[in-house]
Amino acid sequence: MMNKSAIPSLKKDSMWKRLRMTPWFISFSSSIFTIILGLIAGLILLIVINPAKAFSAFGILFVGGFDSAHSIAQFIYLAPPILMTGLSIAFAFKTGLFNIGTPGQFLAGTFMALVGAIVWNCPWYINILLAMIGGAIWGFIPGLCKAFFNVNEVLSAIMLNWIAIIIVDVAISNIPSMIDPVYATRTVNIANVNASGIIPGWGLENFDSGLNISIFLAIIFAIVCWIIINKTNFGFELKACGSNKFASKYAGISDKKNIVLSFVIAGALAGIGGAFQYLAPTATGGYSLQISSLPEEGFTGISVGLLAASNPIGCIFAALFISYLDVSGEAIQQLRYAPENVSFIIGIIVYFASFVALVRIWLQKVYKKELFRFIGQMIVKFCKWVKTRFHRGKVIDAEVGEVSSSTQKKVDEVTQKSDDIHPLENKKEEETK
Amino acid sequence: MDWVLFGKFCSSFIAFAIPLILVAYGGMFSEHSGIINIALEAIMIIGAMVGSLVCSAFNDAVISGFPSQLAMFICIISAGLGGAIFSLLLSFASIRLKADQTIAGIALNTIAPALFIITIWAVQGEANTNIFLPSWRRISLSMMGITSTSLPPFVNSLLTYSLNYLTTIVAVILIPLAAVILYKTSFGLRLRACGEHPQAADSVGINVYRMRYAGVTIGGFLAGVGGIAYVLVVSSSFDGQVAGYGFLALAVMIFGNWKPVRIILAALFFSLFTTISNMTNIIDWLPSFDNIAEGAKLYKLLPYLVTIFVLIFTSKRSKAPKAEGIPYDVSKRS
Repeated sequence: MMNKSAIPSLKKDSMWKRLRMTPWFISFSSSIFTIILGLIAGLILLIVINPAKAFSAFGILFVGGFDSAHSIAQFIYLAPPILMTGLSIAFAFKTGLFNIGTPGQFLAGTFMALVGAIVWNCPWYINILLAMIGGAIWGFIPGLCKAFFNVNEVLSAIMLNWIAIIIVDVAISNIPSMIDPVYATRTVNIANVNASGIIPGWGLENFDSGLNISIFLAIIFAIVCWIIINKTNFGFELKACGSNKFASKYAGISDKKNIVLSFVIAGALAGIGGAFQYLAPTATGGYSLQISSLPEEGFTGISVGLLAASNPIGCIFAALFISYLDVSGEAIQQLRYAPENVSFIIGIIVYFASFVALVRIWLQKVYKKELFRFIGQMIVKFCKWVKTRFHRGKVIDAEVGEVSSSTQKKVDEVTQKSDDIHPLENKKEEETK
Repeated sequence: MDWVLFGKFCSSFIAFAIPLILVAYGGMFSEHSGIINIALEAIMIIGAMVGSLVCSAFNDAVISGFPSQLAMFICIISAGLGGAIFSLLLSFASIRLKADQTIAGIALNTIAPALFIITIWAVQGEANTNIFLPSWRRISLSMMGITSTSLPPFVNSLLTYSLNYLTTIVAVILIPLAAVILYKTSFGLRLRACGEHPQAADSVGINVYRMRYAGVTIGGFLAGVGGIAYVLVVSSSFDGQVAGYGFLALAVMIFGNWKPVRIILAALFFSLFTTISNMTNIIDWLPSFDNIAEGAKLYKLLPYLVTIFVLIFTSKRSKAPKAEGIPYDVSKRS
């Protein structure tokens, strides 16, 4: 039944029918779906806490990040570190590894960047490079343990997180030039010591916030990661190891080399995140010593990577989305809601993202329904309409425009016809069921 | 020997070891049924939250004459139930919805601290994020009807510093009980079968789904009790943090190779080094790094470094339950 209709009517298929089968559309819409579910769960929670203010708080949650240029700049400023840690998670996931060591690698990167900026007086790009090396070393250790001694990577990474906190703390305490003369538990403000060590703003700092070019750098890193994973032999080997270790071994791919390399790259990415966090102009407070908990950016990165379904390009949007929620979460405090409502919502979204496989199958079924067919056709028609408008605007000759719109009508009629067939098909399918 | 020092050492040692063993056992139950439980930390927080809320709710009743240790017992049980109910979120996602268990666990780890703060704001009012734990949570010597002078110094120091929490007694009963259930009963055998080869288990009439729900829920109960056991001993108020104990327990469980006795040994090993690292200023014979600023902190590295080294030498033979992390699908053959 399916085969009969699918093969001969391939040309007649409506755009919508083709669109709903494409993998990227399904994963994109399932991400949107999980976000919507998470927001609904958040709304329910807000109503449970205080029904009177719930809807206004929810409204703030939606638009709070856009209410001023400052808050827009603020959420863009918060995005780069978590984008980098998210990339780190996503990259390791492609090799089937769970890099829970991002907080430790983030700290190692922070330490190296601060040493470069304060002690060695290096310019910012060298500091980022140093952070990369620091993170890479911290990623190398669990990779090595996993590849050659079969040590569970989650375990060794958790241990290394705590080791990183203690070592960074002790090391900075022993470099007197790094400690702030006034506040003994903080590192010195880089702007006072070595202004060239801070990532420049190139005009972005005028937005009354700590905005600098790190967002562009982070996006470039995301694109590079996407290219490495999807367009190179090395990326293919990594993915092969991730999906089936034994098969890739049989095909002559060294799984040990790939595990170590994937961890090193993931560590380097998280380390750069540390540099982005602390080489910013508004990070005047510097790195705070004697903290007893792991840096939050590391764990937020896990949410970013998972929400993006380990897709580096998706990480950009996921990081912006999560930092947006963070900024608007601060704003709902004025209505006496805990800002933790936002991390609850993020948690729920990740929870729904965990059964995304089921959601995909379900969405594929739902898209065949009449309502979605209608909405989908409207979307496709709108796209076509935009396309023809664009066409008319470009081509000076009016006749060509008319011709194109008349052919458009024909195409529409054809699609209408092919769509008219479907309800019958659906009915037959239901009957056979 | 200095009995006071010994008592303090034992107190810290036991305070560290008991929650670790309980939570690691929780992980063990869950993983033997085939579900990776990375949400142990979250379950601990929720268990401790429910337990300490019940505990502070009983405060007035106890002051006006309600038996304090009965209240403690109710508090421990409710902590366990809280953990068990919260763990249903994990089991529902990973059994019914065939979710990626690691991701679901991470999600719960994000949700739990947020849920803690939201609940505390709702219960105690705004920005008051500590739950007060009353002092009657301890079993005092006078309650047992003995005076400290009538005891030998060894027993006295132990009783003064360490053993006088009801959670310790409950844990001493629960730990062997859990091990016996998992390894000496037909229920335990069935549970482990579901983690090793669910298809084979299903073919002899075991309901894999039900077994996995049971494993995660029992694990959640143990982890919840572990959470309250940690919180009661460590401080007089609970602020929603369990200092990464859930992850440490996960490490202890893997270190202990998913076997009950080895988990106990691993937890004792780990807590021994942690205790040493916490007591460096009291123990004289340890070298003090005086020429390094904050040198005493280097001792805190000890448990983590030792664990990594031990893992490097033992992990070649490490054996996780085979079907762990794979959602059970009836139509799949393996």
